[in-house]
Amino acid sequence: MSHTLASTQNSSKVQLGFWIYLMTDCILFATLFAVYAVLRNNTAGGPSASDIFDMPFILVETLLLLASSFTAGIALLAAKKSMISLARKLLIATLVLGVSFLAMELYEFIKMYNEGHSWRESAFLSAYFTLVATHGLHITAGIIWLLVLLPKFFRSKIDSLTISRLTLFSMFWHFLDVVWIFIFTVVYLIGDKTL
Amino acid sequence: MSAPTKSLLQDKSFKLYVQGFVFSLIFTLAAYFFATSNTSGGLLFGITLALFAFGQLLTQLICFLHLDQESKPRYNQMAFIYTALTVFAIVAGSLWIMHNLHYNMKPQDPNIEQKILENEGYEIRQ
Repeated sequence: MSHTLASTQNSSKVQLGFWIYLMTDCILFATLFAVYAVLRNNTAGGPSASDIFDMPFILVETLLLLASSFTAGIALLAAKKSMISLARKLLIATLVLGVSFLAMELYEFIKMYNEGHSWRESAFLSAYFTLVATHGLHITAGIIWLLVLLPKFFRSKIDSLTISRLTLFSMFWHFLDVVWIFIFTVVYLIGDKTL
Repeated sequence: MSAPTKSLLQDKSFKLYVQGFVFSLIFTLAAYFFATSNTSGGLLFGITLALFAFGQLLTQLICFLHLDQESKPRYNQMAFIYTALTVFAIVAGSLWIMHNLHYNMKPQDPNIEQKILENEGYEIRQ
């Protein structure tokens, strides 16, 4: 697969455009983080962070997302080297890991809701659900994107447009991993501890 | 081992991805066990966790997003630095303003006047 100079320059422009979108998304998350950081102790008599978070559960969630970020990166590399069957397997692994992450997050939300700790209970829980579910919505969008992309890898050849799309997807997926690192640290690890 | 597999395993970015994955696992587990074994919190606790998160961030940016490998003009890096600045202003600014508002709220503590006088460095004369 040969890239002409023009198509390389064009794809780097597309990547820059997508990167700028990711940076604006970063600002969206920053505002939600600011809200959470301000409200994290306003529990209004409801549960605080250490009462409701199941830490080993969250660690497994985090490791799943880290692993899926890794498989997405290697899949891109394999696709660039025209190793389509390897890329396909790795993308399916990414999909499975991503769906497992989302399922665990939804399970956690539903469990909290059923225990009576919904977003209506306190400012802390409102901020928590808004921040974490916004990340979860992005993960859902990423999974849909991956489902759209995956059929291209069941053919014998992939074109440069597919590679370009996979590059953007992997950027998106790595970005969500970075955001999750901060959710993991700020929401779960710090929790309700005073700094 | 087939030729493409060999070329994949020897690729520089493949090694970078593996290194990134190992580092991110180390940072995650270190931060997790540090945070769960500590129950009191405090400034040192916060700084250590921030350092772990920063290490994790650098790992992801360099090993997965390859932000350092960009050739000139480095628009991606510029966009990133500007965003980091904006994020800092939003988060630190919100915390600062809300802390100050909270400080100036209608007092619920009966000894608040005494406390404010002490905090502001006035001497109380009877």
